Amino acid sequence: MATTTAPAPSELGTDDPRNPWTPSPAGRIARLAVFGLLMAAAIAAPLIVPDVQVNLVTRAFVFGIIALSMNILIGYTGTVSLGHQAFVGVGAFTAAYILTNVGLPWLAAVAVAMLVGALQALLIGVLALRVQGFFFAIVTLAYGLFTKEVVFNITALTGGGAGAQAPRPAFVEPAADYAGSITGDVRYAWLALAFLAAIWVLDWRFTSSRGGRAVQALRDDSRVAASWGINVRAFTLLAFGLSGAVAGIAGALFASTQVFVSPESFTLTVALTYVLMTTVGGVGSRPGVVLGGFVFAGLAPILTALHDTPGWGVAEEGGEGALDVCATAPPRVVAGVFGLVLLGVGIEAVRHLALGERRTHVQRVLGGLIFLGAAWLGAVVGLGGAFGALGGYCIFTSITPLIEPVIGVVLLLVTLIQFPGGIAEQLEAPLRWLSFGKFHEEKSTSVGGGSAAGSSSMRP
Amino acid sequence: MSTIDRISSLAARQAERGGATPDRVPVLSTRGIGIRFGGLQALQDVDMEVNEYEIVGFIGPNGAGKTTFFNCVTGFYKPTTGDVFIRGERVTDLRPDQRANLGIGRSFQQVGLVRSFTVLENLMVSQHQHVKYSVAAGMLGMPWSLEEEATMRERAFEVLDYLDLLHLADERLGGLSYGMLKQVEVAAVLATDPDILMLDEPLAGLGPEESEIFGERLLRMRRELGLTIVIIEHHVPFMLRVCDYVYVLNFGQLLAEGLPETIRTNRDVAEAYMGEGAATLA
Repeated sequence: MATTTAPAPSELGTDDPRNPWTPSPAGRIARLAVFGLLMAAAIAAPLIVPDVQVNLVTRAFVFGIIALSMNILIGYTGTVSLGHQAFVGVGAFTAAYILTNVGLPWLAAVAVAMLVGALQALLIGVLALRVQGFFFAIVTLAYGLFTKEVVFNITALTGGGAGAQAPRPAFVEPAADYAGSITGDVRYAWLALAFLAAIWVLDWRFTSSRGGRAVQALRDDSRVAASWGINVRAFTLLAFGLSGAVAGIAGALFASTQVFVSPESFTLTVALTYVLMTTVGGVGSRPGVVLGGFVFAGLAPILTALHDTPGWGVAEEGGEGALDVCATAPPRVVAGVFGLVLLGVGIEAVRHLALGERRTHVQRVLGGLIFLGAAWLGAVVGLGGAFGALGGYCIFTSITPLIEPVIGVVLLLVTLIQFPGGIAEQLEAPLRWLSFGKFHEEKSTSVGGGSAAGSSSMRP
Repeated sequence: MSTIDRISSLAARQAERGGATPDRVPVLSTRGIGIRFGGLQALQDVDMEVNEYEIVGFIGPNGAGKTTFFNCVTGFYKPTTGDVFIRGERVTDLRPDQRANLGIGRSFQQVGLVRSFTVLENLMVSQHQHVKYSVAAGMLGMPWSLEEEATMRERAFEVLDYLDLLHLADERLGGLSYGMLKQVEVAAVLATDPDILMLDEPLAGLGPEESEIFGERLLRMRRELGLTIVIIEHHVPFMLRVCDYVYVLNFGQLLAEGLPETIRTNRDVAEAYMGEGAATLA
């Protein structure tokens, strides 16, 4: 290669790409402060929420990990997995089996779950080398269904329909003689957060080192990657193995959250939820998919809560008989319609706020955030209300389990139409700022036209 | 010159190609390459030899099998018959990435770059085969991996600087014109540090002046980087000027081979390109 020695940064002009822009000391402190606040918020979250909701926070952290696992497949390798609930489930049941039948310590169980998760993912990865695109999605779909219906019902391994026990590690349970205010639930939530943080860092290093780059190159064009000396087979399998390992860890954490795991936690709906949260979060973006995971982790419990609230869902109190339930239906219909109208108006109003041409970047980001939040809440409240109202008519009670996927689909459509990059696209500027870049990305002026001697310009 | 310019004797040909000794092993060679796609014989019995530091050209009408031949040499197609040799070693059964490890770097007719990466990231990933740290070390952020990343970055900048593309380093590929993309592709292939550079239509999207500059750059690269270069290109005058030796493919078979001057005046070649009655090329 050319043997010029690299000039010192001080000799380079400010426009030279070898001398990348870095924030001022004050800018650094501001970024670190915001980052610290976000971390503090995550750590404080289990303490702030009511005691009964702590496991919901843990669930959000676990979903964040699952989203990272999904992201390795969908985001980095570009293969859609519709059977990811099986990846997580294998980890969950492995951990449960090790904990109850083998009796190894909790961390060892997580390690085994990680390995088993990686191995089963490698098997699917071998298929991915032969079957691609749509057909591979079908294969994973079949794998997910098969695993849930057959493997997870092998009583000797998983306890079958009765499920399996997955006790939490001893070190998160407060000592018996310790009367502190920090409960085991909170400690377990922190443990899940620690795993999420560790996997986040590993994933970040993966994408900024040779392995992640090679995998992403394969996604775009495996022929080009091969021509650069990248072993297509090895790196495809690597991605699958990593995704499976992360899913295995998530499964182990998931199992111990409720201290119990049953095959019913790994239905096809769950697989779809995983795909949705990754897509709505923003495929390929770490913060995006994790936020998507948080959003969807909260979806089902919030729906259940709404469903159980008189006036929204099927009335529970005071109405054992069907007649009572039907009697309260009209207000719920009104509420449901109102919710949907609110959703529509909200979306339209915020769309103007978010997408107006003359908005500043901050306004657009804020507008987009409000938009996504409104879409989410509107979908939950409006559709929840509407379906609850239908449920009130006694006949349609069986529809209520469909609410979650329906809301998921609505969110997906809203995302794909308005913000194809999902939450990550909306948060692009603040995320760039937080990762020590500039808030406003400057449009480069050097593109198009032979500005430098010897460079090419577009043919007329 | 009216006869087909096929030189069968290796010694005679190497003498013609600059007085090399007959016992010298060519850097890249094929023997009897043939490939059949269903009923179509895309290539038949193609022999080629490329000596060190040569610039060898492949010309021929559309559909003559030039790119197919490239794919056979680089390992993307497995020839039905015949063998490919790199420095005398048979590589017919090796995968493309293994051949890349042996020093073959190639470009693609449709730009061969990672679309979602910036120019710099493309040059980072194309250095893949020279990275010494393990994937695990990279994931754990080991100091030596970070150190090597910094070296790779520097090298990527060096290559970009060498091709006058430095100003594009942080650009996403979406914003670049086709001609620029082809240049960036050459940079990415150079970053793989190949011994043999195989370029598939590198002039596509370039204007006449830029083609001129690119030709000079090729000669400079051969001299300064010690490259052996194989080119497919439609632009016949360019090829006759830059190449040391030219192969002409037509309907999957070698129609002629020889020094550029002999090819220029070869009546068969002229007829294949320009139609009946043409006497000379360009």
